[in-house]
Amino acid sequence: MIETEGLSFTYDDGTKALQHITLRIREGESAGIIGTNGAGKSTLLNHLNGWFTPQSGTVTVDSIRSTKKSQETLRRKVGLVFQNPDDQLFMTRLYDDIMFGPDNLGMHRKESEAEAERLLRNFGLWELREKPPSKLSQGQKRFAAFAAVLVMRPPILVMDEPTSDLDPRNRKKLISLLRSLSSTRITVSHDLDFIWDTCDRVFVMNSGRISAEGTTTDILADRALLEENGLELPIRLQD
Amino acid sequence: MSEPKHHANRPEHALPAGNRASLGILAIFIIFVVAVPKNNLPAVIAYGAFPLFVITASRISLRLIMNRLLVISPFVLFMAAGNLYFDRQPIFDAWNVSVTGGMISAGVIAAKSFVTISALLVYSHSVPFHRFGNALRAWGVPELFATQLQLVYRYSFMLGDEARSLQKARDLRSFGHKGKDIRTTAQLIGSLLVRSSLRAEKIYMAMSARGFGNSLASHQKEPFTMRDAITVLLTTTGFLTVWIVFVPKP
Amino acid sequence: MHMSDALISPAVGGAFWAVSGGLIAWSIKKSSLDQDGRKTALMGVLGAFVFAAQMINFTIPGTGSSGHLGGGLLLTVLLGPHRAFIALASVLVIQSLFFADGGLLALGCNIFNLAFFPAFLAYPFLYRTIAGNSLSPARLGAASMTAATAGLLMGACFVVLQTTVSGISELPFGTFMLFMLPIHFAIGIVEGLVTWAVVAFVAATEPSLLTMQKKPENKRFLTPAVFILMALVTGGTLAWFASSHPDGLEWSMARVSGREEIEGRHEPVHGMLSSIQEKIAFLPDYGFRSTGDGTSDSSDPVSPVNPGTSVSGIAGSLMVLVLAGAIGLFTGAGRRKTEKTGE
Repeated sequence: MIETEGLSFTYDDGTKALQHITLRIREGESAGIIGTNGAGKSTLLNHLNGWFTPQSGTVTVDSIRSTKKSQETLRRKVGLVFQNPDDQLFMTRLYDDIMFGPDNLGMHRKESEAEAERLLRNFGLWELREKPPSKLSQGQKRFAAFAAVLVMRPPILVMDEPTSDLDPRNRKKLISLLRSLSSTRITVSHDLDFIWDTCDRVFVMNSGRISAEGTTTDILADRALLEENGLELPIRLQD
Repeated sequence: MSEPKHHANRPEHALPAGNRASLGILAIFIIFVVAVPKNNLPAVIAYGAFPLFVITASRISLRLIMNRLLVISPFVLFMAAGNLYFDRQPIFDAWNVSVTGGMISAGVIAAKSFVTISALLVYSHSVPFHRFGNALRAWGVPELFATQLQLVYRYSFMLGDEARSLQKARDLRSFGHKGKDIRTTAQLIGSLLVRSSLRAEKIYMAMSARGFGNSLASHQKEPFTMRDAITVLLTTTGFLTVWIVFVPKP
Repeated sequence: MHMSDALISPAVGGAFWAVSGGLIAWSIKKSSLDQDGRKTALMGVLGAFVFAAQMINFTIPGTGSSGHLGGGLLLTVLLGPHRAFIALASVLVIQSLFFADGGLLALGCNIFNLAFFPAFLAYPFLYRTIAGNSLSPARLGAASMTAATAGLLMGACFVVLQTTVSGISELPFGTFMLFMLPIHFAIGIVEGLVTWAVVAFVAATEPSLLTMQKKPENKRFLTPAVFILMALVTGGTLAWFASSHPDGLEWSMARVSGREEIEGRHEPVHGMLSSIQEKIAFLPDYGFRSTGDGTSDSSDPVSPVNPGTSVSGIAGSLMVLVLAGAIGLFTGAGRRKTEKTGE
């Protein structure tokens, strides 16, 4: 379970990125966070994996309060897939990049190798495991980034704009992958159709606050609510 | 890491002098401060009034300056400590404390460091980068170098953001003492390097498409006006006056 | 190693501004010959890369502390000496003026210490000599480690020289050197390791980046490199075993006058020049100055090791190299100008 209570955060230049955010995401749930650019979504994400510690308010992940001391513990629980896979993959060989996390976690080598192979085969990347990640196509990099995080078996998976740069076929593939996972999932995305397909609940952010929350169908079908928050209906619901 | 706000466009009236004159005044000021003899603390403190005056007049945030000043170069601290240790000749007593030559010269080193860094920070907070580039061109700095400075400045923040993202990606999968070793970090840096080089190619294509020919100069030559001359003269006279008052003739 | 304005005198700052400014102008001239806008863009972005790369820290094995890449040698490997020097100089200018990292008057010193040595000495004489055109990890490693360490040590030596000649510090020259050199040796090793690893990464992923420069002409740098190394070893270590017996002139004077040195006449000019020599000779008699109590902080009388002699040997060799190089460049430029106008 992930809980935040009165979470606030202000950047050094005075930007109030988060203001009294209170939310609860249950174990196994898949939640979407939507909002316009600058709404505070990425800042919230960075709190959920302990990258930022709260300036005021609290963040609790599986009963562990987010503090400077507990940052590493939180990182073991929360896997973050970056918006830009080029930022996530930096080793010379794809296989080394996938194994980077498990090796540092001290996971059993044979088990993590087996898991890495399973994930790479699943994503169609096994034949490319010797290649530098920089040489992969955008879609391949996206799945490689997922593999690099999933191989660590995080109970909670957080994704930042996972469908940007993906073609329709790969997008479908990603939806299929996420539906097969049992971990708690949090997705930040502008792709409201993707949120519709993969999330049970949705939080709407606006100017650093949660302006609405509810089931996916309730929120994403409410044109007035979405427009009030600078958003539009998912494409499938538009006339 | 976005471009610091203070490096963004500032109003024209932030300083009474043009770009060339501001840079000249900064250089003259620093030469005066650096030339103060190593045991003359009052003179350095007197010169400290100039950056303080500009901070107040330009309404620059004192907190920002102070935060930076608190980060003293370890090398400066080492040199000051060296003076404290090696020069223990008492010069005078004050409040039952024997003040040594080393204390004075260490104080001068620290004070010079504060004053010169303040002056540099005041300059960087008052003058947007593109005006600095124009000032250099006006002073006759070769175009290739001025263009270089602009490109380095322009892309350092963007690449800095990418570097931070890469470091974050490494740190999020590093646990205990594992993951931040030289070999891993070198791959991170190498990754950034390859991306930077490929980006440079795209940047060049974009610039060429708009007629880039080795120079980013887009300005008209800035004249050195009478106002600039008067400002330089007045400030230099001020610095000279402080010198005459506080630095005794040998 | 960024020097603050607080640690130098106007004379030293001004002198190195002149030297660094001259080097920048010369490098610009050399770089402008090919009028390649692509390389200009690359220089700018790689300068920005060095800035960014310095933000990425790593754990230094065995110390628990963290370090970051300097980038001077790496940039030179990618861009060549002249362009790398310009890129490094521009990074240092921005660091000084916009981040107050390193002084303004000290900028000439910082450019010289941090850019000149990796770009114009360590890279051509050491890195290129050892690595050549090979991408073999062993050669790249040896080249990176040697060149990075040498570059940093030379820079550290000059930091000490500049500070000492400025007369701001009370730290004895010998003590200062003995403090700076081991630290910068260690930093150089780490810089070399990181540079090697980055170059190896680039060699594996984007080898075209490493072959952008002209190939070296058949070991033309090997001979000077060997001689430089011999000079440093001779001055730094073999000099400990130099004979203490009088040389030919001193022997002759002793036979004739009973003394090895004849006292000079007490005239004002002699006195003035003698006083100037005393002031500027920071290594009198090829050793450290005596401390106030008459003892020197140099060596154990039993051991032949003499730090003062080593420092004198190394500093002297480097200064002669720079001076001879400068004279060569100047006369070479004059000759080329004459040849050009004669056409």
